[in-house]
Amino acid sequence: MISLEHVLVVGALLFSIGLFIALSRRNAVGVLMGIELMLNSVNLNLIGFARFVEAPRPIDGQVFAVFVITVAAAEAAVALALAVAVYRLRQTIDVDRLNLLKW
Amino acid sequence: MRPDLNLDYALLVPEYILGLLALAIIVIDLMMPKIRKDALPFITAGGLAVAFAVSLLYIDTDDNFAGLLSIDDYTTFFRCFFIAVTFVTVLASAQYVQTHLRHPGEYYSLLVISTVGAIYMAAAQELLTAYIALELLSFSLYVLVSYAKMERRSNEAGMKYMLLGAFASALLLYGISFIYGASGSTSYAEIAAAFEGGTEGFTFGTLIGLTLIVAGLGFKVAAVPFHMWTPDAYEGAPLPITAYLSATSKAAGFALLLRLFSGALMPVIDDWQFMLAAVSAITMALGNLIAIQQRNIKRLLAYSSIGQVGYMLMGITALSPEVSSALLLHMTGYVITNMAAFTAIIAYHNASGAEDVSDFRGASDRAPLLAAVLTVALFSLAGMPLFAGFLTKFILFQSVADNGYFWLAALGVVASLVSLYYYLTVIKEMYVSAPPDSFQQEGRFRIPLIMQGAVIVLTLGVFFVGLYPAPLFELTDSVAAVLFTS
Amino acid sequence: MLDTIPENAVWAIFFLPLASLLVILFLPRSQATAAGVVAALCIGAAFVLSLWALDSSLQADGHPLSFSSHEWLNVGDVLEVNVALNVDGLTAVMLVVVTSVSFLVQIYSMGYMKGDGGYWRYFAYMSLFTASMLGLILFNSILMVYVFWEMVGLSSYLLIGFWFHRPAAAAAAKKAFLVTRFGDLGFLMAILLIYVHAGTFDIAAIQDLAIAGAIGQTVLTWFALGVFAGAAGKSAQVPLHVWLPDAMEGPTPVSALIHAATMVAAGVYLVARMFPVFQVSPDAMSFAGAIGGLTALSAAMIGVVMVDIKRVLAYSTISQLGYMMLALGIGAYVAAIFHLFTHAFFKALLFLGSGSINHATNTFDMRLMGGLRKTMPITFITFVIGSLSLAGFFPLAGFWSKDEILSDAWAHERYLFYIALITAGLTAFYMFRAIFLTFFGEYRGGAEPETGAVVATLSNQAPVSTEPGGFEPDPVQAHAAAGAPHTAPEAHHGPHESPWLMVLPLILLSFPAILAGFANYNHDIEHLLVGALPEGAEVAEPTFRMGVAIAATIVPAVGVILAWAIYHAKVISAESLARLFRPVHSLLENKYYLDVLYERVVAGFLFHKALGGALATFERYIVDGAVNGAATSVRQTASVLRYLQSGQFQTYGALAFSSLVFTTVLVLVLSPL
Repeated sequence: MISLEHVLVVGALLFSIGLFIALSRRNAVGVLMGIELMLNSVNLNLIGFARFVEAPRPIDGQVFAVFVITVAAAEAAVALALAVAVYRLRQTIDVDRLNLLKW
Repeated sequence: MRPDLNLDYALLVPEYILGLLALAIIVIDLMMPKIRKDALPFITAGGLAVAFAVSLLYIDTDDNFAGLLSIDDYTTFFRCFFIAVTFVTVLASAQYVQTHLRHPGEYYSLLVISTVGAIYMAAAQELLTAYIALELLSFSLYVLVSYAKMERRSNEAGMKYMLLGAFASALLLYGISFIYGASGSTSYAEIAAAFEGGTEGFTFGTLIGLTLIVAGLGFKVAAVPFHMWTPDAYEGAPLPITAYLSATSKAAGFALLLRLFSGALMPVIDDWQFMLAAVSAITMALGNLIAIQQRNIKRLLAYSSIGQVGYMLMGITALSPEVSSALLLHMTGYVITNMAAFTAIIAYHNASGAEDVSDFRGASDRAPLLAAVLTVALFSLAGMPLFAGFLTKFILFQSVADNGYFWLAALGVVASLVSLYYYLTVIKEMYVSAPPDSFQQEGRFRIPLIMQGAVIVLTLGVFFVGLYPAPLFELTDSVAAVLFTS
Repeated sequence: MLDTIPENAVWAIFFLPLASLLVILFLPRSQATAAGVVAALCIGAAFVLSLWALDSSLQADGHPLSFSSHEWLNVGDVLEVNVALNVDGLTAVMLVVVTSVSFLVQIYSMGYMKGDGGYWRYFAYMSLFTASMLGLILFNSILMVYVFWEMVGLSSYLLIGFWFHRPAAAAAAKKAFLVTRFGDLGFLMAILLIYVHAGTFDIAAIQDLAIAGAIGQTVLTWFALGVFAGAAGKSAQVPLHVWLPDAMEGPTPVSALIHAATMVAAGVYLVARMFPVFQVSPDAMSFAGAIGGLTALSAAMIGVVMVDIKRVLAYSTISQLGYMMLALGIGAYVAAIFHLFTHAFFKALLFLGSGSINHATNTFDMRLMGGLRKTMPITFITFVIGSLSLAGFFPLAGFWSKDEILSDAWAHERYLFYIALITAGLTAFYMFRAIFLTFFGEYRGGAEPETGAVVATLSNQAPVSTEPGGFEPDPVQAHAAAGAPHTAPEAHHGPHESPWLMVLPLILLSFPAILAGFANYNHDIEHLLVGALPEGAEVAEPTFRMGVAIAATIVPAVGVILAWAIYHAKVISAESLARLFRPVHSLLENKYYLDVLYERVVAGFLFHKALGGALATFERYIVDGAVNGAATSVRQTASVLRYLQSGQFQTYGALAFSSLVFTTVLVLVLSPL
């Protein structure tokens, strides 16, 4: 039987993996994918809580998850557009080379 | 759909107007001949004025839209607040956009859309709505920051801002999910009710949730140690957007924080108060100290604004009706002052291309009005009496000290002393250093009338708040009372 | 006998200088020369009204006249600030001092600033200063006092830096502003503290609560120390005195008004105003006394070696302010304010005299003066009167007030008495050293009018500036000129007496410098000042002690004779003395190296470089380095993770996340889980 703990642990693992990717990948698109993983762990958590926690309206968590997915898609669109613009100007989207602005 | 939902669409008319305005600007931009493009900012400003007037009709309303947005005096206050800030930004942008940026239609349109996001952040009384509103504001800002498409620095700033913003959103959402799990709801009132009865059995999750929410929102308002995007984004962004970031983005974050913490998280105040106190203390100290080292005026103001965030976080820490009112007052004074400073800098930049503090040398000869306005604004930011900055800051510190955080207020006083040092550096450049040699050929800068008018009005505002804050204070008092009555 | 002054007339005292400011601001530039007349007229009217206030106060025995309070800020429970005027004996005395000196200085300035490009700006600032100073004295709320406290600081900043094209002036202005603000920090915190505990800003209410013992002892001590920090900044007490000598870069009438007679006395006034609170906390009292004594003595010692006449006067001012603080510290409240009263007149007289000398010789360097007794007889006589009064010779004003302080010190704190006595001797010595160097002997040439040189450099930097640069030379230039002896002393026409606009105030100020001491002959001032205190406050009873009076006359006389012997009769060579005491001499000449300490170490290194730098470096290198280093070590241990790279974005993210983890751990440890 799958319990809330199982869901949360998987969510936490997913979050950590996403975090690691986001902080270690050099390519901006890779970083973005890491962030998407973190968002997905959020979705997992939300669904899990909606399923297991006593709530006035269990549907809230699921609705939230749907919205997160939508917003994440929009976020990817903005980020990719920015990445294209950066690539045109610099022929690279490595985040560690984006260091004109510092100090 | 539940039957008890209040779907009174008439409550949201100001936002409809703003939305239509945003669309209209794009359409007009497409259809208008190139020569008339300079009319766009004025069309935008006109639309904003209409939205402002309509917002005023909602004074004394106390209603909510489907339990998602509450339309009360707090919302009305921030509607007017954000629309006014956008209004000033649009006017201050006019010349800059024409000379520096392409696609003015989308620029103004995005500004208007971000205003809607900011307003909903203040109005939201439910976590999902708050999140969507926050992303609406953020997405518009990501694009606006990187609007100078051919500028490497603007691009880079946008990219970093966007990635860190998304990262922060993920942290925030993860935190929200735990709060949802602990309380079983996303509505502020229901969360408060759930926590009221104690949080046994899920204390750990609540704590994780609170920490992550503080971190996520800390990113949005640029609190140390989540501030690191701020100087980069401020420096890279087009100047008017820097001004806008320092005003709307920050104020919207605090509008959300204030409603969230007073509405939902008040019962668990013991769990987050010391956290915010620490963040506030580090933020004031670090922001003001690092600012000393800055040579670029935008970065200097970025760190100065981080310092200001520290003062304002003090207000969230010692949360109470009086402190909230003082916080709103200080925020208003700060935004007026900051807009005055930035408008003067924009006008000066348009004329001279100035970026660094040293570019302001001899400004008192080259543009006496702008130098005087900037001096007033900087003195106000440093908290000198006579100007808005002193009174609002003093009232804030006073109320914070009164609510048991004397050490935090005392630290704030010390931090403002430090800030005087770097503000004086700028003033010294303007008044003491001689203007560059080119001055002899060029003579004084010609400043457009609209900019002159804007800086004069804003400066008068700085003095008005500084000398006679009673009306504004009464207003913020009644606005803050709304948060604590329900 | 006049009727009691109505409230509107008191408001008029405050608003007249403000009106002058507004009129000057909106004066057509073609009429700019009218600015001086406007300022003098408005402030003169305020002076007349102040006399009326003094008269009313005398009739009321110094007890506060009751005026209705006006609401300025009153919302909710957060804050309630009512504004009311407060006229009691202390206020009335200060009003007369401020308006009378200010009035005479305005007249003097009309002559001194004539032809300066910033003429109207100068009078605008002066009006602003006078209004702020009056506001500081008149209002009953400590918050309002703070507001005007900062305002006088601001106008002092504007006036010190009046010739802002001169780097020395600009630097001095900034230094004065920052150093005094440092003291204000304590003041502001004290206000916050007292409001938290007393719930009011009203000074009388705070005093009553303090006397009634309603506020804890510790709180009161901290409050008093905070107030004293503010006062020490403004009244140039050690170690916050460093700004005052540099402030001499401002125009000389400004130095006379602000940095001798009124603003610097504001600190003494504030402590006197809060005197009942100080009395409740003996620790704060003795601290104030000790600092005052230290200031009085150390500044007087520096005064002995200065060669710039204005700096001699500046250190003399610091020393005298220390005297007043010392008096307050031993509870001699009446004597302190009485000394403030007399000091304002004779010190303003001396400063204006030095300005007159500068007008004739174009320098403040005493090594370039000499023999002016013959060419400037009026300046000479008035300067000697001022010096005699400052040195405390019977029966001049300074004698009475100084004697009262000494007498009280003798009764209460012997070590402070001896400090004060030595200071009195030193004071007489350095003042007569200045007189002998300046007015006796042969004229040593003065300096070239610097207008030529300065305007030439100015025109390189700021072509629009119409400033002729004023009369005062850059100190660097003056010292350079002093190093290379002047070969052509008669190149320009010799020194001459100043125009009557400048001489008249000198003559007028001589009268109070001689006679002000008799103001307390019937204990009038004492009644006024004691009446200003709330019920229950105790004051040391001033008594005349013949022994002290004799000592206080002999010691300065010795000082004068020594000065005569060294600098006039040349019985003892000044150079050999300097050689004999070389370490001491250079220590004093460098002002105990405090400036170096502050500028290089505190401001330059500690503040700017070390602290700001360390933090910036932390962001630049440590954070990057730590993350990079972590990345490297991880890469070495596990080649799978070799893609762990850190760039800017990741640095930010990693730092944020690690602090997040840290916070979470902290939360878990601290919270009662």
